[in-house]
Amino acid sequence: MTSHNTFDNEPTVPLVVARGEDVFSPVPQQPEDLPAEYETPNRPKSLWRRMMSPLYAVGVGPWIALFSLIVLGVMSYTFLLPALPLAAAGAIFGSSGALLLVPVVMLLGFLTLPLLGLWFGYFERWRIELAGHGKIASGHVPVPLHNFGEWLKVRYTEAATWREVASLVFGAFMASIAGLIVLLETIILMIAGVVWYYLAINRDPLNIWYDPSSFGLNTMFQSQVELYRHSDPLMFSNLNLDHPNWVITPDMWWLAPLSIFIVLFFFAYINGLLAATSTTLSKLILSPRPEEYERKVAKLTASRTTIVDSFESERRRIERNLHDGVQQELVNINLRLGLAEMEAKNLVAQGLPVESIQQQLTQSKTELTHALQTLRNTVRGIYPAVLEDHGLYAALEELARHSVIPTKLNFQLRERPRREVERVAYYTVNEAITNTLKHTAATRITVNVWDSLTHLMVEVIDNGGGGADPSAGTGLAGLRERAEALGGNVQVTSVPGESSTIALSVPLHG
Amino acid sequence: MHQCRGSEADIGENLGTFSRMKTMRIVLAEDSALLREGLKMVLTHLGHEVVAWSEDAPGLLDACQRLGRANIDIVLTDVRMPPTNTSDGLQAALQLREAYADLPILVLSQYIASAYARELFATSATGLGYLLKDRVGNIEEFARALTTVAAGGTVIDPDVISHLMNAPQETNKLAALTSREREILALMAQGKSNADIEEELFVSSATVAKHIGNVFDKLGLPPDAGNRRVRPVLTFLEAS
Repeated sequence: MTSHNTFDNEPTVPLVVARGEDVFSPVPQQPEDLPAEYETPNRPKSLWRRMMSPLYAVGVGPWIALFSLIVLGVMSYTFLLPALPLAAAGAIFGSSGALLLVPVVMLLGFLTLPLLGLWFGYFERWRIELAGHGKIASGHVPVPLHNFGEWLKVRYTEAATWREVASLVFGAFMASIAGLIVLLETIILMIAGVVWYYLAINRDPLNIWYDPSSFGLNTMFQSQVELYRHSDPLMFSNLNLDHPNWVITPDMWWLAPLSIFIVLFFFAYINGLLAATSTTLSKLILSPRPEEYERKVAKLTASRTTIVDSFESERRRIERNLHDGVQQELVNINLRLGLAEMEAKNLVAQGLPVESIQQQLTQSKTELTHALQTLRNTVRGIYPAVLEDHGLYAALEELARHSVIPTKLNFQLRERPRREVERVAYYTVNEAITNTLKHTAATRITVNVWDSLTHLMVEVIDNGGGGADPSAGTGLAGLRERAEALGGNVQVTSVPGESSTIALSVPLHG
Repeated sequence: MHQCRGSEADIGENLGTFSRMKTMRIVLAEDSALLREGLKMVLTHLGHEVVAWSEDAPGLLDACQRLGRANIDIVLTDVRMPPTNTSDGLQAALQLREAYADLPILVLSQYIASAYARELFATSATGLGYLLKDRVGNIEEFARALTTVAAGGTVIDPDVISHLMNAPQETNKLAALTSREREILALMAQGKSNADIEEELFVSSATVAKHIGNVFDKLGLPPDAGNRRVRPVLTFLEAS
């Protein structure tokens, strides 16, 4: 075994495939779940955490809660609104006897909801993040929009879409409750404001009567009392207008702002509770389920494998077509030319002046032989039959032998790996040798193939002075794709002025 | 000669001038109908008789079994054939050799990879040949390969040999050979006789003999071992 010093510090287990992040980002840990020491100053605080703080009411928290509720109300109603005319139409058709139209309208509503839900989900995730409750992955499988039919099909059948519809309905429900409560809060504040105005500016005392027979408490400003006394004394006949139980004099005007402060304090918590509840529940509804992630990961892996497989079978098909078709035809033409050449030769031997024909035939045959050789090389490049028939060692040996740069192969495998692994190993070495030839002035290539307990390891090292760019080259990207589809990875390292190494590691067992 | 344009019989006759050979009974296996017909035509023109043909490996085995060893002079088979379209022809050839150890077989291949030749010559080399399909266009060479193999000789395609020669030399037993000796070894592997080699390299028979002796020495082969001409070829394959 040769020394594989470049791998000494490398983990034998491949790095986690990082590409998945493009598709859906993992849900970050909720701040609640984290020990306090992990909390960074920049981490957004959830409304629950904010409410725990003793300074919650005087901070920005209540305003975030209020804003969050307003946004929720506006959004949920805006997005449910397009469905309302349909519901109304359904009701009208239903009541007017056009019963046949009811299912049509219901279907329309049913079909519209997911689209509205999709849109709402987008904003709702934004709102939840804004409220400091963390990011939620969209849960949607990425589908290009230009393929609209496919997009619709996927979106209508996705769990994520229907979760968003549920969150839209739930949002509208929560918004309705919150709307009523906020309306009530506003009325209370307005009353307190009016009281404050009358007491402080108009110097108008407030009379309060306790009356168990009617509403319990009756309140009236002194000016009102005077007004009623002169206009219609019968109206408050049950009240003794002159003897209220309590009188709040204008000197006690500070009671109004005080009560405003007190109710605002409570409102802050009520709104906070509402907003936090709606946000947490909405998040619960919207978050992709773990099994959904797993399904999606499995699906993505499968689809990548399918892509690689179809790529593979396509190559094989092309190779077969070339081999069975044009190659055999050319061989046959070669055969016929050979016969003709031989015949011409005999004629020349008989003294007939057909030397030029013979020369032409020989020339054609030489060119055809060259064409056949070129075609053979091309066919081998497309799909190496020797890999299938005789395994990785024989195929790599061929590569090494064909390589223009002297190539040394160190091959140490205990058993023949599965075919997919062999193929990716083969294509990696092929690509590496081609790249070295194209981009460097290397004079030596070393190919090392060995197996760790779990992985097939391949490294191709050249002495071309380093400078290999890991990100460059579509060939390399394709290799990465193949390796990752099998759960492996490809790494490019380079020691400037010395060498470049392309290293592949693939699990031996699927 | 009274005719300018030779009939088919003429061609066969004319061929006799450079490849004095007796008529051979040939079993042909080739899946491409086009090439099969082409080969049949050439073989007929060469004065041979295609006693049976097949388009897949099982068909080849059947045909040989039906005819019996005594009625076949040589088997000519493609490597890649149905049913699996991998190296079925080669596998059939190896099976045939198990059944009839001395049945001459010439394998026609599209693959230059030495692994195929190595597989074919793994157990023996007498009466075996591995020829690239391109080669059949050179009727003379093809005819000679047929006769050599049928007579118990060994033929390896020159391209496969030069391909083998390109192998990295560090681990190669052949590293000890001089370029001339390698050249002669390559020619021997192609099934050429000493006389052919003399002609090709413009050297005397003594020189050729000397070089061949050196090759044997350097490859560590006893001079009195059987299959003199075949042994270096096998060593050559093993070494590569």
